Amino acid sequence: MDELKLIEIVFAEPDPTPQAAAAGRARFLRLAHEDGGSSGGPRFLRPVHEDGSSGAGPRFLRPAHEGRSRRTRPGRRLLYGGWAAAAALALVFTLVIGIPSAGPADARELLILAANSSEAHKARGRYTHMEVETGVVEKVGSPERPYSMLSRRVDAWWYPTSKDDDGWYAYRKLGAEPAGAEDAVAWRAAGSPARVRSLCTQAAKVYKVGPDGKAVEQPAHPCEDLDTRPQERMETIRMAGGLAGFLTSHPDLDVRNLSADPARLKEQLLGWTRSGGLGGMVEGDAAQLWAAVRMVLFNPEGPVSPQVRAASYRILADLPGVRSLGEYTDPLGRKGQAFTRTGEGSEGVAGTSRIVVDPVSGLPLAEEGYEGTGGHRTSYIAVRAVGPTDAPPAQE
Amino acid sequence: MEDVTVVERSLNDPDLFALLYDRYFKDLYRYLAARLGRDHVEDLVADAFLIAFNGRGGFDPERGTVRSWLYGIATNVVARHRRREGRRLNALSKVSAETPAEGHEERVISQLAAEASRPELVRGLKGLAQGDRDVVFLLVFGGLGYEEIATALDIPVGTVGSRVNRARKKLRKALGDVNPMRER
Repeated sequence: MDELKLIEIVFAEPDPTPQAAAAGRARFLRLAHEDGGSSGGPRFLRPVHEDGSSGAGPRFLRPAHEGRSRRTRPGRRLLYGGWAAAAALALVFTLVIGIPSAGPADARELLILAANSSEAHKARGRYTHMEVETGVVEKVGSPERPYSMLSRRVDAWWYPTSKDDDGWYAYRKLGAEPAGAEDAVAWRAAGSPARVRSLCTQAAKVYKVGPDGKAVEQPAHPCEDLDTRPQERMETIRMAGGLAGFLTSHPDLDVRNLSADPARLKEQLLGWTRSGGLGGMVEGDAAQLWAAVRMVLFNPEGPVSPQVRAASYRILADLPGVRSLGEYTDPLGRKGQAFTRTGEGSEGVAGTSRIVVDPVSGLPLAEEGYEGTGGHRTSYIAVRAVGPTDAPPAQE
Repeated sequence: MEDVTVVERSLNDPDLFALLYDRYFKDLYRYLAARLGRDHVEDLVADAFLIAFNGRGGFDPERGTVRSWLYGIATNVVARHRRREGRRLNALSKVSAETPAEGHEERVISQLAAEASRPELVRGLKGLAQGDRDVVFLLVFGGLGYEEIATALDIPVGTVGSRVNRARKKLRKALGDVNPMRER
């Protein structure tokens, strides 16, 4: 008997009971149904990873009880050495062309500045690191007395530069809190519950474009309990074997292959969106590019170089309908320049989204989604750190 | 209907994907139960299928079979449950006073022999690199060939071979270079 036979004998478990098989099947069908086959709207605007129990990508994999918490987040680490140097470089450039100090500046000019700044980043590290904070506003309570809670979480990725190196993924739920002052009153009136059930009835319909080009209505994301209590620590998970271990919810787009040439990048992104990559019915090249560039900047789920970010800014610079909103404070309190593009009804884009960029450093700061025009903010993704680093997450 | 056709058609008709679940549930259950223990492992199998379901648009039949694709996803599930895998290995590395095996005489002897060398075997497995352990379990519990393992893990076939050789060598060493059947 050889060692492989030994393993078979020692590790074999009894076959599944019919009950286990049925339970697994029911769970799969429920999650697949609720998740809409990862077809819900532009995926990066959906509440990314609330419960980690559904969807594609590592974040959906329920690592909560398995991942190793090894550290608390050491605050924001936005500027790495390479970034700082490049920011200084960009500052010189800024002084030369100047940013209009009063009123919204020309969007194109600011985005080209951001592109030039981003292009100057040359540093390379052991990992390409990205850390984002995501906030999603959800309606909770009873249908008669609904109120809104903002639930937040942090996700971080260390994509190894070498394919032989291991990467890391870490996350921490920051808990849910009343979204505004009136919501706080409603929450307290409900007895300040630690867990609140989201109201499923408010969920919007989402669409999926089939291979025949027709849009099919799908159920929106499922009802969930929101927990007001934050997780104590980051859960840190080693992702063995280069980038292979990182799953993505953009399975048909490998962001590593994105071009730093704006024309080529545009082709790549449109190729992706036209084949249903956005998972939603977003019509028109401009609307699709706006959405795809936001994915590249704020939710790439893979390593994106500063040069590709630069090309993304250049695409936005030439995109019809993009407007500057002037200086803007992002959800983390940082100053940047905001840009928006309001989708028209025929584009299938509900609401407005805006992005916040620091044109001087070239760093993407945040994106926000709003209900309608001038409505409430419904979601945000704020980039807490992005760039090369040699340091893996601290271990216990 | 071929697996590949099921995947293709499920893009239009998502319910069809349940066919694949029915075809491969037991296989993935055995694999994941062997690696992570059987406690609620059906949930993990369901999660693996959900990932496959959500990623089915990106499945490329040129690259390999649906079966190896599913085992690759299941291996990623294992990767995200390292602690659980560690706990299982720890538990199995301890000698237990379990009830003696029952059944056909030859099988009983095999089980007794395996039981006797269990601590060393498990220690050997714990000492393997994760990638080597993946290959070994895919070989033993997935019944995959080298090519299929290569597709599942997205590594060259040659690497599968060298991982198997390295793992077996280490395991034999951990077992004290003895053949447990002959010794006992």
